Formats: sequence, structure tokens, C-alpha cells
Amino acid sequence: MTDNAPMMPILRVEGVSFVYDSPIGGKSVQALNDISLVVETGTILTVIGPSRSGKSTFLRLLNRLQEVSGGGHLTGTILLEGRDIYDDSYDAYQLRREVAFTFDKPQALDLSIRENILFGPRLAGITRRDELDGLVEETLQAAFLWDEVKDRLDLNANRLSGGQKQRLSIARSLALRPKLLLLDEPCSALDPVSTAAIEQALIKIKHRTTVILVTNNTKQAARIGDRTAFFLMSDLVEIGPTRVIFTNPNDQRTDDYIAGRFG
Amino acid sequence: MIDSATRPDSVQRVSATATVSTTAAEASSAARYNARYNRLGMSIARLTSFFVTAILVSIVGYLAVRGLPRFSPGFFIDSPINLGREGGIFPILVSTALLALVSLVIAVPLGIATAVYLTEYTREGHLTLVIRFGAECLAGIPSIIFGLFGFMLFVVSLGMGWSIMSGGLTLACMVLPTIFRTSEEAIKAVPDGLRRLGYSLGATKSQVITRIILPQAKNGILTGIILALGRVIGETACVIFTTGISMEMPKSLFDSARSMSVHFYLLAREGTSIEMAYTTAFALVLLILLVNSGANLLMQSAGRR
Repeated sequence: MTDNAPMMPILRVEGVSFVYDSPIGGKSVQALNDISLVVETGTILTVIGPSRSGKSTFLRLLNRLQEVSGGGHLTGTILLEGRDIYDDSYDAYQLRREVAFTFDKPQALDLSIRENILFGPRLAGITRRDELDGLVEETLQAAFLWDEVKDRLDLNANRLSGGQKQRLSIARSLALRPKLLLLDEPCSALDPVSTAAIEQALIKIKHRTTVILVTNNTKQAARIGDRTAFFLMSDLVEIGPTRVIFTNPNDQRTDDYIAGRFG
Repeated sequence: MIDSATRPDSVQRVSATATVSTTAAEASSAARYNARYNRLGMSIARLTSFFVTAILVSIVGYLAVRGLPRFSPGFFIDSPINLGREGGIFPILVSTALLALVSLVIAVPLGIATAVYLTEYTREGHLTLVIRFGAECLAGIPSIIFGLFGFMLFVVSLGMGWSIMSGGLTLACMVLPTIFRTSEEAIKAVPDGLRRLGYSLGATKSQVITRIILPQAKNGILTGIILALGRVIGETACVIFTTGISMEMPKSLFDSARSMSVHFYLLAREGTSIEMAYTTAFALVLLILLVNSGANLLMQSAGRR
């Protein structure tokens, strides 16, 4: 599957397949099958597809987070700004700062709101007080959470609501100053108001930080995506401008999924 | 018209009420039966919990009655006079504290490190099973066996003599499984999501352990340490074999010394001074109650989160 992008791509995925190691006594599972696509700088790519289609695995491969949660075998290459992220010379920890990740379940470290945001920057070695303070305000603003928490930054983050925690997660990811932000169904457990805030935030940040959003909510994919990819049973069925995918897809299966005929 | 329409309905309703009433009668008898057994169960539960509390209260009460006459600030800050018939227990308090300190300084890092290794660095397999089984066996060994073991190894073979060091090392072996198992449970209870979250923020494995997992498991680990502390303070058999019975203020960790429980044991067994024995026992039990209440408070604050 080729995909000619007009802008300079930040990410190029070439022929990526992934097989999960067999759990004891079980069969190994093909999670991704020959995926190729590019993501342009400054855009939002939304990834849709039914569950178990490989979307989340795909996302976790993009910042090598898959390595820490279980074994598997990867073939193909993933290039971030032209550099192979699975090359031995690429520091996985540095990569995870460049390609940040937000999980589906809202979760906070058992620390204050401020220290949640600063956890990543401190690990990266940032110590200047004014720089850290600036990061806190800047990222909370970007995640539309600043106004709600600016007077209680020292409150334990676990006291926040689910929607607030998820926006905190996005702020925490942005505090790494990533080039690329990956989000794995970030709104699956949230109310419509928090969902809207997160969507707004993503649209606002995409000019600085390219976004890949995996979602089960096709309407959300249509609302904020510049381009959309449709995964089905480990395959990338189709990728293209979101408008085209949702109005005039090439593949009948894409049409069926979007129309809600399965999934 | 209305009549004919309602009559069969009402007939039906009567019969329905009849069946309901029979089942209701059965149900109410069953309910009475249940209620009777409920009351019986409740009273048994109340009785047993009363017993448990009563045992504690009567022990503490008895010790208080026998021990309070000599209980005074001087008891804690004076040295024993005339083999402990007069004076206080100050050197013995210090020795007890030193024994506890030495044993925890050794057992805590070892126990936590073992727990971290088993939970974070190994997959479940034969090795982890063997280590866990070993720890459980170790926890079940009577303390006097630890005392003999400590005597043979530390006092005799390693030439440390009867000393706080020998006693502390032996006590460390004894409480190691307690600290290891509670730490392991506390670490296992940390949600996996937090580990992944740590990695996603660019943390290395050791940073995930030291900055996320251990802080999160802190209360559980502390609870284990305090339980171990309670056991160390109250231990007698283990200590008498390895630390000896000297009443002098220890000048170094390689001096012989006497812990509170050993002091109590000797005063009572030799018939030196039953009053002072009870005063020591009362102080010891108060100390252990204090330590355990600390553990309780921690467990509650951990549960609240």
C-alpha cells in the first residue's frame, strides 16, 4: 500500500508486521500484517477499526513501548524523521520523549498535579525552576486544564476527576516536548464535555506536535482527523484524507465499518 | 359488560393471592428460621471477638497491676542496681533499640531487594517458586532454632562472640521473610498501568522502580517493617543465645547485651525480682502495642487511597 504525502513526513512506516510471542502453550498471534504509511508533520492522523484489529499494537510500536509490556517479533522499519527507531544506536528512552504516549485509562502518578507534569522533564534532566514552572503552565493551558487547577497545583492528582486526569495525562505527555503524540483511545472512558476539551486541545497543538489518535469512536475520527487510517484484522485496509475516507472510501469494508454495518 | 370483563380477572387474582399466601407462609417460616440462625451466628461472633479482646485486655491489665507500682520515669533512665532488683532498665532499653536497629538495617534492604528482584526482574518460574517456598519455610522455623543457628554461625564460627552484632544478624535472618513477603505483596499491588506510564515518560527500569513502584508501595512495605520491628523487640530465645545477658551499657556493637524480653525472662526465672520483671514486661508490651498501632495507622492510610 503506497501513500504519497504532500508534506514532509515526520513518520514513515514501511512494511511493518508484528507477531506476539506465544503465551505458554498457546499459538503466536499475528497482530499486524505488512503495514506501510506515512504521517506528515503538523497533522492529526486518526486510526479507526474494530477492537483487536492491531491499532493499539501499532501505536505501541511507534515509541517502542511494546517492548516493555511483552515479547513479540517485529519486521519492517519505522523511521522517525528518517531515522530507524529500532536501530541499535537509537536510545529507547530518548525516543519515548520524542514520541509521547497517552493511555486509554486516565491515570495519575501518586504525586501533585505539578509533579505529575514535571516527572518526565525532571527525568530528562531539566532543573531550572523557571523553565519547569513555565512548562507546567504551558502544558496545562494546552490541555485546557489550567483554569481548573491553577490555584491548586500542589493537590494530589488522584483527587481530579477522570476527565481532568486524562487532560492532565495529555499535559504530562506534552511536557516532554515531543515531536509526535500518540493517543490510545483517550476518550473511551470520558464524558462528552471532557471529550470535546481534549479534541479542541489536539487541534490546537497539532501545529507543534503531530498527533496520531487511535479511537473506537468513528465520529471523533471524522471530527478532528486530517487523515484517517482504517485497520481491520491486522491489515491496513485504507488510509487517506479523512474527508475522503468518510465520504468516498475506496474499499467496501471501510464503507461498511463507517456506516456501522459491523464493528 | 364491565362485570363480565372483570370477573374472570378477579377470580384469577384471588387464586393468585392464595398461592402467594401459601408461599408467603413458607417464606416467613424460612425467614424466622434464618433469623434465628442469624442471631445465633451473630452471638457466637460477638462472643469470640469479645474473647480475643478480653485476652489482650486481661494480659495488659494484669501486667499493669503488677508492673505499675515500680513504673516511673526513673525506671527508664536509671541503670539496674543489684542484678536488677533496684534501679531501672536504661542500658537494656538501649541494647534493645540497638538490636532492633542492627537487624532492620540488614533485613530491610535485603528483603526489599529480594522482593523487587522477584517481582520486577524475573518471570514466574521454578526459581521464584523455590525462593518463595524457602521464605515461607524460614518464617515457620521456631525462633530458638534461629538462636542455635546464630550461635553456631555468628558467635562461634565467625568469632563475633555474644554481641549485639551476632544478635542483630540472627534477628535479621528471622524477620527477613516477613519483610520480603509484605514488600512483595505491596509491590505486586502497584497497578501495571503505572509501570507503563513511567516507561512512556522516558523512565528507565531502575527509575520506574525507584520513582514509581517503591513510592507507591511505601505504606505496605513500612507496615511489614513495623511488624518485623515488633517481633524483634519481643524476641527472647533468639537473643539469649546470641547476644548474651550482660546488663552493662554496651560500648560497641560487639559487646554482649541484654534485651528487654531477656531481662524479664531472667528476672522471673531466677526469682531475682518479680516486681521488676513485671514492670519490664509491662514496658515491653506497651512498646509493642505502640509499634503495632503505628502499623495499623499506616495500613488504614494505605487503604484510604
